Amino acid sequence: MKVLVAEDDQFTRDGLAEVLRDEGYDVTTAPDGMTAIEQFRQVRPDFVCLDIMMPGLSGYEVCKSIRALDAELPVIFISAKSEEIDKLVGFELGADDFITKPFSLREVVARIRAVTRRCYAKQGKPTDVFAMNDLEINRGQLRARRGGEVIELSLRDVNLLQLLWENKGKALDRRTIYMDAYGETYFPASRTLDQHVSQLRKRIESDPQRPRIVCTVHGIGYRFDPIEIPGKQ
Amino acid sequence: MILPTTLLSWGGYQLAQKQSEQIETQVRELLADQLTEIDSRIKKYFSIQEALLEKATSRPFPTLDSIRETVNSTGIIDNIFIINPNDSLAFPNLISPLNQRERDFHEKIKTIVEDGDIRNQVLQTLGIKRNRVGALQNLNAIPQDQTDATNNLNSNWVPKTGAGQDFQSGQQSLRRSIQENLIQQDTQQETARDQESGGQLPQQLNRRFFNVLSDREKQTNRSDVLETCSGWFVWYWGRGLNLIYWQRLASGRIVCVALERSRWMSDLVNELPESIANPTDRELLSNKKDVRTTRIVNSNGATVYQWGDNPTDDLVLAADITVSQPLNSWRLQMAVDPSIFKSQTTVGANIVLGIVASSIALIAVAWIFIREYNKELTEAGRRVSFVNQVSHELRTPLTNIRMYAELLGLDLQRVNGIDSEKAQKRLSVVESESERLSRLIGNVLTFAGNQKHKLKLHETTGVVDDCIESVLSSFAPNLEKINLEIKTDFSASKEVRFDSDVLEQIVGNLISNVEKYASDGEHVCVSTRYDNGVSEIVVQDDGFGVKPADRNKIFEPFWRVSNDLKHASGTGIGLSISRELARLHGGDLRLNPTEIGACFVVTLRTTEI
Repeated sequence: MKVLVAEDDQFTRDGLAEVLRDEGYDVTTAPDGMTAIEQFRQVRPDFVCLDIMMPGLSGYEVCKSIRALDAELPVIFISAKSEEIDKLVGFELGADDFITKPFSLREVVARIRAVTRRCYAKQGKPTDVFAMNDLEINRGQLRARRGGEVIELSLRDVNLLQLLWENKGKALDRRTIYMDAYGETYFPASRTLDQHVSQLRKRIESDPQRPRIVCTVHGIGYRFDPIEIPGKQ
Repeated sequence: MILPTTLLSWGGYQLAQKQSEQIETQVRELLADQLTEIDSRIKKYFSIQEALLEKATSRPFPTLDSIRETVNSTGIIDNIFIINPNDSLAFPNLISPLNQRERDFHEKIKTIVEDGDIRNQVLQTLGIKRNRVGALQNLNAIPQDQTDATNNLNSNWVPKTGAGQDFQSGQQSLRRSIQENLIQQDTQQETARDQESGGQLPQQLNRRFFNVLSDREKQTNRSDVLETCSGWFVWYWGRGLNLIYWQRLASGRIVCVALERSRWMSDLVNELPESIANPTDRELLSNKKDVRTTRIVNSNGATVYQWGDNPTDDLVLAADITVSQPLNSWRLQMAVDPSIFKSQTTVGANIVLGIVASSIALIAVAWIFIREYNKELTEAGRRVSFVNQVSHELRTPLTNIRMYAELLGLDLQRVNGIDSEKAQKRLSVVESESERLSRLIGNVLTFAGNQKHKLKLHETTGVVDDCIESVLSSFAPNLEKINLEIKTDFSASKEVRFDSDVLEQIVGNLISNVEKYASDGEHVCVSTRYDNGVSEIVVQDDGFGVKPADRNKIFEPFWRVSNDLKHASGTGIGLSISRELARLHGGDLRLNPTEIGACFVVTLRTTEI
């Protein structure tokens, strides 16, 4: 899923981009309004995060231009302007959400996941629900369920799990997983993937020390081994 | 501003008008007083004359010479005539040996005697006198003897008589008996006077004149009450008004003295003041041109006497009184320059001008006040704007601090080792402090926004429990540090429409208060409930709670439990803003009474999707 982040403050912009990338989004950034419109035309993102006060064109004007091209595209305003009138104008222009600075990463992540869910719903894509042993993953909702327990997932989590589910029983090497699930074009030398899997196991495995969903294949990568559950196909 | 000024001016004008009228009335009263003073001089003059004439006419006139002697004794007496009880002239009559002057005088007065004018006046005076005496006697209620009863003849008092008695005949019989007594007394008095005079007059003439009078008296109808009285009779003859002083003696004879007109007129003019100005007058009419004319006018309106050389054409009548007896057909008038009143009205005009000036001054003061108020308002607006601007400007670096601290925290989670744990702890301080700063800025901006204009809601679809969970997770590290365990009981998992920013701010303020004021407790319980479009969030701690006296105060802006520096930090607007926001959201924030700690209940109207 592609995201355009238009923010004039470099640190904020880079930070947001990093957070979104960690979530599994394909992030494009723009330091001002004009660049944002150009990037939008080139990239055609799935949704946009816009700062309001930007040099050149304001976030409002960028939003209007984007709306002219795509009336349904989700737009999230991220701004230090938090007065009612600012929010009102933003919502009038069709904003899906309004995040005020300063924000926490959890807040941004939660809101972006919510928008992503709505994106799936608006786009009318078939809801992908698949089961990995006793874990049921709903791609459209970015959630997994085990019994009555609901587990919040990032897009990257879902992408990784879906890749393993689609290749159930097969050992996938790290490069393949990284390129396919992360959508990256290069494989870094860091342990990014392993750390991600480690964090993911803590949330989705019944016993993270003895994983049953994302199993390690030493020297290669990871594999999903389905287990026959009585009464369930 | 215009309305009170107009009212003030109108009131001032009315006041000036009223004052002008009052001044004119005062001037007129003053001038009338002056005329009264002149009249009192006239009155005094005639009182003196009356005393002299009473004495002169009370003496017996046994002979013609005694009458002539009295006439010649003073210049004011023109002549004397005496009327018998039967209205005939005792003197001068043609039977007596009269000189030419007396014969002429007889011609002049015989008409008024024959017409009974003087007699009528005497009877009228007697009636008035009796009425007065009767009224005085009535004050003492029941009369004791005949005299008292007589004095009540003309009164309304009715004597106590038997039933069916004719009151009128009773009164007449009573009157007759009293008259007889009075005649007897009168005769005795006259005899005593004659004896006192020594009876030195020629016996024949004396006897003859006295016999004439005695014969006349015998023929007199003595039905009238014989009482002494005196008065003035005004008589128009010749050059105009003539005065006659009369005295009725006990015998029924009326001795009349015709006054010498030229004499009393000249005496009167001498009595009149040359100038009427006095200190009070000058004070009242200070700096005004004293133009006035005083005059005495007769019953025809003709001026009898006038003093003051001013032409009367330009003057207006300012005071007019009736002259006292015996000249009560005359009037005393004073005409003055009308500018006296006009000049007085300038006082009123000055008052109006003063009020107008005061109004202008008031307007100026009000304008200055409004200008200063607007200036103050603008300054306050600028200050609010400055706070807003600064707060906005603070937000971007604060965002980066928080975000990068969190990112660094995530990085450190991936690194194992003691050093990373220390770094995590330090980072958590950075995160929690930046979160605190975020809340403070949020509250300040909300408060400033509320001062500028009404806050508005921006509802989106979401789950109340998720929103609360998010807030609690941000506080979890700090609460953990002070050993406060968070207990939750969530039952508001439905998707509803609500303003998540508002809910976050409210719950954030409540949990922040728990962190600051309930740190000595062990738990904070947060429960949610959704029922019929209303979401309820309860935050209960087991800290030291809120004193009963402070239960309402805690929701007042800038009120704090203690301003002591050693106590918890804060601005004192958190709960005030939270309640304001909850009410804006169709709900409320209240403090429920509990035995331990504090229990805040937030209700929000949330529409179910």
